Amino acid sequence: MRSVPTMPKPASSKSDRDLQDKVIRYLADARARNKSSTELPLSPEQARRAEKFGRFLARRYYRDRLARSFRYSRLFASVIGRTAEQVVDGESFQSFLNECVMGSLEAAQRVGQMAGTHLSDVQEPGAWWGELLAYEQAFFLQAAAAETEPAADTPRRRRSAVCRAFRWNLPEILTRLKSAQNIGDDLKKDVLLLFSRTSGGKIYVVELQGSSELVWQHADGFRRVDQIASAVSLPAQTVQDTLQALSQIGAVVLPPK
Amino acid sequence: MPSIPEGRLSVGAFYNPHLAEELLRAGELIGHLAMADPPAADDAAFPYIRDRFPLLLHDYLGQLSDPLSAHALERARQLQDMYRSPWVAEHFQCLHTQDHESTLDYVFPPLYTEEFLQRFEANARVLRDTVGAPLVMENIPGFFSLEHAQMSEAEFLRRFFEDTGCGFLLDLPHIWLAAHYSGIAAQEYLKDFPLEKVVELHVAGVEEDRDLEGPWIAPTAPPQDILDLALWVAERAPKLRAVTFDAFSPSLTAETVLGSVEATRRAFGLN
Repeated sequence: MRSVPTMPKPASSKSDRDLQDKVIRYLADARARNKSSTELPLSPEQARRAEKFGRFLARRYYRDRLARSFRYSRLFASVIGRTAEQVVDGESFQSFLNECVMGSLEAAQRVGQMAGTHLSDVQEPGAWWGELLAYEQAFFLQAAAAETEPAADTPRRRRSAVCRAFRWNLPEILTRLKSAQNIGDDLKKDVLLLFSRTSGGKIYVVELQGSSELVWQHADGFRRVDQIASAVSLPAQTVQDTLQALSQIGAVVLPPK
Repeated sequence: MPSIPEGRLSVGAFYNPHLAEELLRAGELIGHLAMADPPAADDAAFPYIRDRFPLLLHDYLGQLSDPLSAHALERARQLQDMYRSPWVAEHFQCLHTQDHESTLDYVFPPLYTEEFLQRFEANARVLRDTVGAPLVMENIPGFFSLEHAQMSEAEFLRRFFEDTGCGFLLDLPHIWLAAHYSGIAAQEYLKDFPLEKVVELHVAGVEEDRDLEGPWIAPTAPPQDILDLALWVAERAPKLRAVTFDAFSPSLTAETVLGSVEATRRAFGLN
């Protein structure tokens, strides 16, 4: 077995690399670019170009995530005449670009809402349409919100994770949509889905049942494991194991060991 | 596994999984496929693709402005074990902050300074040693500049290749754009670049972008300008082994990919 070599240590604290970090934050944050002055060594002309590039990056970022997240509703584009990613070319997106922090939860919520509204105002392909859009909006939130979660002293639900009850069996609906099968009332079924994203960017959609749901609901950042166990009447070890599993899919943040 | 033949230029494309059947049916047209992402677990066509085409590792392995984590290095090694790529590609880019709290999620060049040169050289050597294959590095265009650079892009790249012995993956749309926004011809922009180090070329299209109010990279067929530039470079690049149509997107059609490869082959007199 070959060993993995150690990479060289980074250079000193104040460096060109630190300046590059400032440039990256400046490009990702429209509010920083809106300030009348910047500490970056940018001429007025280059600052104008950087502003254009920042808008380009944000529009591209959200277009890409919308296309990936709203891919099932996209199957009906020819019927309803709309796709989710059209919102990035709309007028309201222009003002969004003036103030968005790319990758933030707040920006993802706003864009997801825009897409949901855009696709809701149509002749619905089926009674399940609204639920499909809710599913895709929750998925989009995971794809587009890339904020680093602060460390926790007690188990806490990740801010971008979403737990939502559906009245239709969404996992099965997606399977049928992929294979162009009809969706009938046989797919009416209550399901509780948890949408989450790991720090590495992997997105999970899992069905929550029984004790997992209880533990999830009580991981509010105020209770320790033993307090959650007491509140949900489960053994502490069961709660610990459940939290560990939820942490692995990025749904909760656990205190450092 | 198939390999790119020595002494013969290979013209290929990026692997777009949704076009796998068309790529497999394309006969001898496609010489190689570059892999921007690992194959999905449910990609039933990939085993056939791997048996049929030489594969080039062109994934995001990490930004070489920073040390790669042990996990990233191990991932790179595993990908190379799967593809057996004749060379492994990375980019002259620095797109996320050191604390990983902010990312541009898009190619973005580093500041061209001594410090960044040292960082790229050190980290590139480690990546190359880890994957056990030659490393080629791709140029990345900027759209604006800071009053902080200590050298030109050409000098940065030339010194990097001289110091490390790595190969040059010359992306021609990137050069075309850099030249366009510098207000000079692409051939003029390239005059100080180390073309003798070029191992692979990327060709693709450009199109107008509303935010940039000018052209930018697009997953479209390479225009004649880019193909002419490719030929001009090839005449000056004795180590050139492959030309790749650089486009991967779920919206890409088989007609665009196959047509672009055909046009590239025609430009090089290979049809």
